[in-house]
Amino acid sequence: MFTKVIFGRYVPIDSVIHRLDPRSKLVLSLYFIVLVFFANNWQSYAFLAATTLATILLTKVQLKFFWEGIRPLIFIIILTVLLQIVFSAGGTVYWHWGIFSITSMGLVNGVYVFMRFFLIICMSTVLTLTTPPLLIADAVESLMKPLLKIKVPVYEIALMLSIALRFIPTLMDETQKIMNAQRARGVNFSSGSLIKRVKSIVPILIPLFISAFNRAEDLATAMESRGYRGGDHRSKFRILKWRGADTIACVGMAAITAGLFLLRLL
Amino acid sequence: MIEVKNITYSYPNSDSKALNDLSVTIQDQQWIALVGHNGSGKSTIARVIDGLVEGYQGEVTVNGMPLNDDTVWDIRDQIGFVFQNPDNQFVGATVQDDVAFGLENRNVPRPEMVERVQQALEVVGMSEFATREPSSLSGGQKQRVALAGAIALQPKILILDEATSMLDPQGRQEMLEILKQMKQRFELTIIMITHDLSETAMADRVLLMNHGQLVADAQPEKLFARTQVIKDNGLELPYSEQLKEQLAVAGIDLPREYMNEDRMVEWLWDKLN
Ligand SMILES: Nc1ncnc2c1ncn2[C@@H]1O[C@H](COP(=O)(O)OP(=O)(O)OP(=O)(O)O)[C@@H](O)[C@H]1O
Ligand SMILES: [Mg+2]
Repeated sequence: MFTKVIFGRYVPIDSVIHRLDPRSKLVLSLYFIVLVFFANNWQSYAFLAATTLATILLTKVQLKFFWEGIRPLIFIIILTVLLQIVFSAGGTVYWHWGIFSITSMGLVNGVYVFMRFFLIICMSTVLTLTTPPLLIADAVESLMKPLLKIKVPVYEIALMLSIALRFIPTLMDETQKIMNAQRARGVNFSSGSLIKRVKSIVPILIPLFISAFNRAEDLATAMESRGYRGGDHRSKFRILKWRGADTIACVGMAAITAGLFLLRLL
Repeated sequence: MIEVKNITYSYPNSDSKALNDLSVTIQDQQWIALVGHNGSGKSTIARVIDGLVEGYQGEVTVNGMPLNDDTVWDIRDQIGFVFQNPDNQFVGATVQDDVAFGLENRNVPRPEMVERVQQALEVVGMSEFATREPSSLSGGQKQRVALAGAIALQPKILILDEATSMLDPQGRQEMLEILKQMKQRFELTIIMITHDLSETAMADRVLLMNHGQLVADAQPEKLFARTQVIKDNGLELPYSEQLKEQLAVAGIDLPREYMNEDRMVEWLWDKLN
């Protein structure tokens, strides 16, 4: 239950999108998210939806994984769309009650907002389903390198990120173990009043923190004994490689941009 | 050569002495087995040698270099250390990243690094797990990875703190064989911490610790003969040695040298025929 992260987890299969450099995937998906806000009519939304669908198909990942990525956010999406519909005015009025009204403009706006959400989530899911978190961390490191000039400890941040990623499953396991140990002592996590349930979390958190600190101390010692001194006098085992496909992906994105701005004129 | 002179140390939050005026000299290319019951100070002395503990009394010299703030990194460069808990020393996000970590720190060029990572994983039999994440490995597999991480550094001194505790008997035997070969090939000095006296048979010297002090320093066979010392310090003779003891009581003549269980079975079989 804890292991589901929003946007979905990496699916280790082979596809054109999987093989792209994480840097290009990261930058292009962020770029696409910005691009979505430039769509202003149904043609441009349809166009972006078509390109998103094409990308999703290229990942070869089953559609149900995308649905799983959207599901946790569905409530927020519906709420926003509803608010958008009942609060925006203009066009034909279909229904009206106090400050609330359903109008043709409201409906259109609602659909646009839904599309925006939907496209953004789909593209972010494409990124996380096709790129292991570690490579995303690598991409962040590589893209942040210019910040070294203003003394941002980029390498340290990247190492912290990768260690955090590495310890998430370990700590999840630990939480589960502690919960089981508490259950064996008669604690019930799933019933009782809200206050009671929140209270039952405290005896999970305290041992979890203690063990996390112990682990951190052990880890620091182990890193030191293996010669870690921080800074940039380190060689790198994992390297990122920009390939032809990445350039093609960028050109494709430029074409999509051009297409979108043409459709905006309609 | 490692020289430890009159080391006394207490952990900051405790008032009992984890090490109490401990002195020992370890020659190059010796295989040392360090034994003692829980809390006898084995891990602590190993950490002192690697410069991971501060605020002790006494002196440590490693290969002629006195251990201090200026030399500690050079000394660590010569030491490969495998810790007790394999989970808390797994730094990399995957097996190969973890083995590479120490090499990255030593700024080893990438092509050489890739090769050394591969070789080290091969030695410990973990090649096919190179891209696996630690959460998908068993305790014993993580210990193998930790050993690979130390081997990849090609150290002069290898310190193993109960580094085989989670391996199955066969895996443990395999690791001991690997260590033996590596010791010859790379002229290694090995300090192996263990609870299990049968693991000490390959050692040149067994150091027995209790209450932060050295109680015995002898060759394995000589130590096995001192059964009372072993029992008094909370340890147990290897099974074959216990059997030997019983047979001796029954008046059967036995060879003096240590025999593992397989050798013992063979010997008994010959004797019976
Ligand atoms: N971080 C610590 N803080 C306080 N005391 C400690 C700490 N680590 C160890 N000690 C104490 O120091 C003494 C020696 O511990 P050490 O870890 O060296 O024992 P050990 O021989 O390695 O035992 P084991 O076989 O259980 O690993 C013990 O009495 C222990 O309680
Ligand atoms: Mg110990």
